[in-house]
Amino acid sequence: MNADAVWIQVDPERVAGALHEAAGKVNAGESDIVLSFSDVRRIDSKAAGAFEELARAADERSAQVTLRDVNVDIYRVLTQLRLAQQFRYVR
Amino acid sequence: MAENIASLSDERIAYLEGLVRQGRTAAAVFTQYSQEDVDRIVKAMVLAGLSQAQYLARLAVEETGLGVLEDKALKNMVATEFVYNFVRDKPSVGVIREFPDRGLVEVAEPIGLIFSITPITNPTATVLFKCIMAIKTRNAVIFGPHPKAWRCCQEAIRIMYEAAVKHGAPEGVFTCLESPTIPDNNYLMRHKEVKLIDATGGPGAVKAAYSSGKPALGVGAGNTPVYLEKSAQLDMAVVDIITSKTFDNGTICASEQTVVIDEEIYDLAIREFAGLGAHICNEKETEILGRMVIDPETGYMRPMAVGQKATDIARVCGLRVKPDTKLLIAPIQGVGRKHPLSVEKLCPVLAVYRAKSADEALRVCIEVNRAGGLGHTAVIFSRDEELIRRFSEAIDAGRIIVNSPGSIGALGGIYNDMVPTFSFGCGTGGGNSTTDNVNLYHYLNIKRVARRTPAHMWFRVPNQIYFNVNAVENLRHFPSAGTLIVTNPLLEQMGHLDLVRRCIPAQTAVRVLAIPDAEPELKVVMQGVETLNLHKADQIIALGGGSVIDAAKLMKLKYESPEADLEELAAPFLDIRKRVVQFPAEKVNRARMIAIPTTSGTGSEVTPFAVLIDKERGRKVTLVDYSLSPDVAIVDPQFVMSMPKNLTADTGIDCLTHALEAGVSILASPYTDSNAMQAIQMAFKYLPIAYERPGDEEARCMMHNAACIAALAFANASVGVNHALAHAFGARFQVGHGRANALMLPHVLAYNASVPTKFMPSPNVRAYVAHKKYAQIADLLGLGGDTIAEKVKNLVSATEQLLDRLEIPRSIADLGISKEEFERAMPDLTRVAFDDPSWLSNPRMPLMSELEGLLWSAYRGRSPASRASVSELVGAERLCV
Repeated sequence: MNADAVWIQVDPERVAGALHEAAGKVNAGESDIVLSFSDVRRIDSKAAGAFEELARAADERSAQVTLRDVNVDIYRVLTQLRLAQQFRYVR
Repeated sequence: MAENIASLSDERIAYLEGLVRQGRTAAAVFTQYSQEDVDRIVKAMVLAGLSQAQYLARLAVEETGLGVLEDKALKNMVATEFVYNFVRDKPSVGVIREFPDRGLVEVAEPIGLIFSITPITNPTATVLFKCIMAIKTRNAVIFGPHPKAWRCCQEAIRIMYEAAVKHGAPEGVFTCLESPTIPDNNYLMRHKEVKLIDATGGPGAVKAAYSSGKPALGVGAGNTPVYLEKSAQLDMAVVDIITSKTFDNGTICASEQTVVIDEEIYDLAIREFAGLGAHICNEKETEILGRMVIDPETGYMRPMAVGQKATDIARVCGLRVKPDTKLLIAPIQGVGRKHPLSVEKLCPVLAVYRAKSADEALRVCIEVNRAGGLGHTAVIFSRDEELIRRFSEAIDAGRIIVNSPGSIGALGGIYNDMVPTFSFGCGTGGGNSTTDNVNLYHYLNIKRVARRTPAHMWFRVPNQIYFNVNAVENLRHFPSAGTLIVTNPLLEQMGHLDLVRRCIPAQTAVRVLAIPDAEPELKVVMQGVETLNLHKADQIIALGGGSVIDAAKLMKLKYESPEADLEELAAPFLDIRKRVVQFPAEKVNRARMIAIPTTSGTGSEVTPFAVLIDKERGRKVTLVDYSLSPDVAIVDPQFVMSMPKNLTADTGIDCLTHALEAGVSILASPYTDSNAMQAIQMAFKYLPIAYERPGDEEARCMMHNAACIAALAFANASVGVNHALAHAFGARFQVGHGRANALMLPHVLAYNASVPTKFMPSPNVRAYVAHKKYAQIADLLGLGGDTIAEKVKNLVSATEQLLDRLEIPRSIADLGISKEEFERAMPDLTRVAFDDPSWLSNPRMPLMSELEGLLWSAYRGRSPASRASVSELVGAERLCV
């Protein structure tokens, strides 16, 4: 994560949208993205699918995606979907 | 199975992968849900299912052509309302059960993605049931319905899904295979993302589930025997059987298949059946029915009969029956291929058998049960509790239904308090993993959070201890009609016996048994028991050293409990509260035991131990139980004033070893510590005086008390490695117990103060403190030192100096034992020492190699200048600091 990283504050009401937005930025050439989950308590199936899309995009374009303040429940979802290792985590 | 999967097209595989992806995502998302979330969703689903019960029943009957609309509607209601009633208050998220007294907590974890196969016979009810279970437990399900019940199942799944998602369930939580095929099922069963297979259906589906290598709940066919016994309430039984067997045209796999009726009530029962709408087949009709309902090739029922009305079956078979016939009853004479109707018939066809006795009835029920119904369900109608018990033990069935209908009874929650279900576990008899009525707990991984069990501690000592000079006078306070004094000849000669006799109340009949001054043999114990029985003694006085007191303890045990098997009671144990062999609680005689020690060391007067020697096998066995502790101890120094010097030294060191080992034992407590520390102080101060000035009354008195006080400590905290080594070495080389202890003592102190190679695996060990406690002892003795290491070293040195003052040999070699002889004995010594239970409370768990190392250290001996460093004593051991 550097000072030029794209910062996205994730709105709990539109988690999937924020993740799609991040995936779009990665596909557009951004190499360093930070998504802040500080307000997000839970993700739904759409968001889980969007996480998969973002992970795939980041992998293909060697971009670094950092998730900030992800709670343990969401981290467990990512673990079960085998996505947890695709992202960096900071508090 | 692999070949089946190979037949799937790429498009089909992509479709199946899509279902898995949806389910996996939903299951992962579902892990975030709370109990309140799932309970809210479940309630909404149940209400949705209830409101559509009749609609779904109609769909099922129309699509499958099986069963009865009204009954299927009832089944759908049971699958929602009754199941909800069972699960509504049951926690299924996070902590689900707590057992505070056991320190256990159960935490529920969802399984993930489940692949669920549902049957044609109970299609919608099974789907409703499984949907509710899945949501309650936060799992996602891919349903694979029976192809001939697909539409109704798909509709049931849709109703459940929409209600669930509307109330917050993750999208994709339920999906339903379209146009399901066996290769589809096999593909999903083997998919790595599918965590559990729940197969309710025919034997093929169940077998495939278990063959997949995945955890599976596979529940299948039954063949329910019914014993209609002569004491039964016949009218109720007949109604129940008809109700059950005609319910949904007999499609529930728990429904009655063969009713075995006692001869005494057979005719009456048949008349009752006939009177309530059953058609009783004659021999010819039975033969036709058997041929038409059961396929003679396979021995299984023909699909065309399943779930059909009795009149329709009769028509197809060409039987003339009344239009209102509910049930076709076919008398059979046996079970097996020659009697085709003895197998499962999921239709209103019921076999009956006339039994001439209860034994015959049970035998036939067992045969029916074995003819395709192992592990499933059995029914008995009887008022004979003993017979119900015999039936329950004899039949291999997960559900034994008593005095109620089989099919509806097995569903649970209606006629009994079993768990409501639409999936019957059939146990190993049916090739299943459970005998339960499958329920929410089978859809959970339950984690056990186990807290450390608090160490249970105790301090148990004799009721009364009298001490100091003339304590023996207290014998006057113990009235007795008949007393046996157990002693040895030498003490008799020394006048100790007379001293005791003078203090016994005059009216007491006294007998004396003088036994050899050696560890007791069984024959000596039995001699004492014989004397006690002969004189009906109510009191035993043991006057002597540890051997005499131990002998008296065992005499008392065998006198009070003649059935006690001393050999068995000596069985090893790890925890006295969990021991395999319990000491007898029932007593045919009762005798008070008073112990008067004549040496100052063993402490047997207050301990729960007794040693028995088995000369034939050349070994000692130690019996341990608090019931062996004497009732009264009289610690009177008069009896030790004339102890010879070497005995004073050896028994005194035994006392000191008891206190030092109890002090660092893993069973040590503040109660035992206070005694151990006091005894150590007294022994260090008074033992050399008693040894050097045998006539010093104060020193004798204090050492006599010290021995008893040390014993109070080790009676509750036990001893350690020192005793294990001393027992092995002393027995092998005939070296007295105290002396053997002395030879090991400095080496064991150093060993226990070092960093353990292995810690003792015991909840009593909360930290490694042996070295600190040795330092505490050094402080107590005023030995000086600034660090723990220095203090431990000073304690070892002080112990060595004490041994020198007592003129105890410095080494095993000094006893004249050659190195070669010792080397030869070493394998046995380490083996015996390791088998000795004494070390089980040692602060370090000894390795065999360490026991050998200690024995060699003792062979080489303690340092000549009494200034040995601890590390020198134990080689490369690292001292705990």
